[in-house]
Amino acid sequence: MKRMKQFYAVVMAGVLVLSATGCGGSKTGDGTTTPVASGENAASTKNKTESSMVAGGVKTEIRIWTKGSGPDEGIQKLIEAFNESQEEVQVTYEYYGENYTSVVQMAISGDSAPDILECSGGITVQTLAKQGSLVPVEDCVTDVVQENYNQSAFTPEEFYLNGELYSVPVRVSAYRLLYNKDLFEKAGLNPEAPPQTLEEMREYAQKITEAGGGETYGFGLPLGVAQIWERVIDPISYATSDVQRYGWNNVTKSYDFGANKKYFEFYVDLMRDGSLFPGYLTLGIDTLRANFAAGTIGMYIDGTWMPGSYATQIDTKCNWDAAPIPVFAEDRADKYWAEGGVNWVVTNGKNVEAAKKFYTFWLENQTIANTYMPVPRNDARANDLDALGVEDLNLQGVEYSFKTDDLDIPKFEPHKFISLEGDDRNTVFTNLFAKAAEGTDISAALDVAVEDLNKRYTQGLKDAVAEGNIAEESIK
Amino acid sequence: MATVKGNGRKKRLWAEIKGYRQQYLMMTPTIIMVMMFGIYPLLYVLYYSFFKYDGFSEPLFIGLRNYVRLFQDSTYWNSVKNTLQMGVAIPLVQIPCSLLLAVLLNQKFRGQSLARAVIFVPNITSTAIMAIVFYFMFASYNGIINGVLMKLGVIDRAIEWFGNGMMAKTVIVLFCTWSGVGFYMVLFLSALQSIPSEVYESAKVDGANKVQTFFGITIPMMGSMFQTITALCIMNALKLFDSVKALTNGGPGNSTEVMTMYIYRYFFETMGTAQQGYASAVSILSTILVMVITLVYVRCTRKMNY
Repeated sequence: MKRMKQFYAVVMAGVLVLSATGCGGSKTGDGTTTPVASGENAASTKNKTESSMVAGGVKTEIRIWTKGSGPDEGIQKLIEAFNESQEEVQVTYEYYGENYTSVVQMAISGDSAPDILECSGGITVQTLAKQGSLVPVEDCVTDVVQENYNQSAFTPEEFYLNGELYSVPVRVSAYRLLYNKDLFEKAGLNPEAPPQTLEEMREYAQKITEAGGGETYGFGLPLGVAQIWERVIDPISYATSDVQRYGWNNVTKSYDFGANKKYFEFYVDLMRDGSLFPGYLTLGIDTLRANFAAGTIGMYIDGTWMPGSYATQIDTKCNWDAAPIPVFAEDRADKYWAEGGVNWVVTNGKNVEAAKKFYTFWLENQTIANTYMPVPRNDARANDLDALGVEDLNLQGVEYSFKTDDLDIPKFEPHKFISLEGDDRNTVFTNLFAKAAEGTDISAALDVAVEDLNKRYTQGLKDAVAEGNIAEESIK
Repeated sequence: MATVKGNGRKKRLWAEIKGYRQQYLMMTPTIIMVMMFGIYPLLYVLYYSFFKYDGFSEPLFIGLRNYVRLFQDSTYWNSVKNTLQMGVAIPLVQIPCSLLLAVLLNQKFRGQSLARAVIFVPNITSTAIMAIVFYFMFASYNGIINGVLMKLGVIDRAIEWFGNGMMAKTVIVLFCTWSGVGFYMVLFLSALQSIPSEVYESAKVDGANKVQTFFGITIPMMGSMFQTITALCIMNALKLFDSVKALTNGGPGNSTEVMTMYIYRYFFETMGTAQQGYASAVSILSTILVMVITLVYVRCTRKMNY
């Protein structure tokens, strides 16, 4: 009896240990979660299954990791097209959502990085390139890509190291004013004439709020979004002055958050007018978008990728459109800020040639991706509205969302490379806005905050230069 | 002589280990997992707290600079203040509610089991999901709470429940009470049921009423259990994360940001390069603070061990 008890004790101990390991999985591009056996990953399990089904010949298996929180049909269709177009290389992709950064970090440390990965969520191209984890992709920029791509996609310094190109962003992302044409009409405004100036935007917001009788509001400002001020201040500042994102004056090569003040005060005025959608202090972007789609918000600022999302993921109950973000009447808008998105890189692994083969296909065939997930892309052919092939989708707001000729991708943005001590601009401004919402006069506090931000960001910049994270030439 | 004594001790120790080998064997996986997933990560974090580290580049040794910065970081101390406020407010509401429910549900009546189950259900539901539901319930636009209060005529315009720090913290306390009261109620129930019935009978014979019985017998006899339950409640309140993240995300501004959210922000959400070295220092100091508070509480309440 005693021996039986000991035997059971050993068995249960073993079961406990085994059950604690070998759990978890990753999501593959087809949306299913594949259980991960210990010592393997989902892609190799899936790929092994697929290659064993291929009659004759061994295909090189390429893994791609992205940060998406769900499957991107555009990427899936493009990968399918590549896999069908040739016999030598088989590609799969996995998306990791919020865990992406830590998963990539562990994979790189453990020499098990995928063949292609997306640089986002704090992962920068230059950091990985400096480590020797990447290979240049200049040879993937074929004549086809050169002819059809927006040339400012190749300008950001962050994609280069020692003059070599490590990434080509395929998307171009900017911010536009999205407005509800039905609410415009209800408030007696012309639904085809969105506001051209911030003064008009304020007036229209008031009218829509009055006409709404407590059911609809003029403007949505989601302060629950950590980077909100990047959306609602920086594009306007970029278009009308030398001050780019996060207060960086690209002419004087110094920080000037004072230039943000007038825009911040504008939104405080909107709040005091009562034109903001309620709950703005903790309002998240998804709740805001859901309410906009439901037709309760007159205007808000969002990314140019939204027409695709509204058409494919959110049931929109209103007629809406996109327009350039208004500027103050005294200012003149030049080029609006944009950034290259979906920065994929090829890692320095054992399948470099195969990965580059796919990477070239990826760059040359963005039109395929756009027929399933329409977003503005650097390849002008993909942005052709006739080529979108999305007749079954309720695709609205396309004219200004897919317009890229008034956009400019900056060459250098220092805030991406700074390790800032203390709260960043967004947190500081949101805290001040919360105080203003309580009725406090924040003018003096705003001046103090601006001075402190200039000081801390400048110090962060100096430290980044001293540590080699920013080249001195970039800030001369 | 010393060798004989030493050998004797070794023999006794070995005999004891041999005698309890099943128990040690059963404990081994837990010890391994605690070492792997508790002690090792703690040492790892302690190590990186002396470095400037973004998770990818080579760590740069900076000595105590992270800790110096931490002591001057007013936003962190604001999060400590918020955490302490939660650490006081939540137990103050949760413990009396749990105890009251336990006393009521300790009596036999029809539907007693169903009532216990219903109150316990929030404990087996995802905190994040419940918090999101609470967020929508307390939303200023079309939130059901405002709708009901306006319908009853209690208010004539919607309350901005998340409009300022104090209101937002009130909602968080309400949520934590609702979601956690079932667990503590079960603990109090088991404590109540361990009190011998003869004691109550004697008190009844002596003419004690219900209130006197409750404060004179029930509470003192639950002493050590009371201490443990309250310590658990305080520690859980000090480690709050998912409910605050889902309800307010630290807002408005960072008026409800707690220590755990502050750590999370610096590990995963900083603009620019990640500051995992600084976040590690914040983690270490926060852990020490929670330990100190717990030890102070245990020391102050040691007389409750009956």
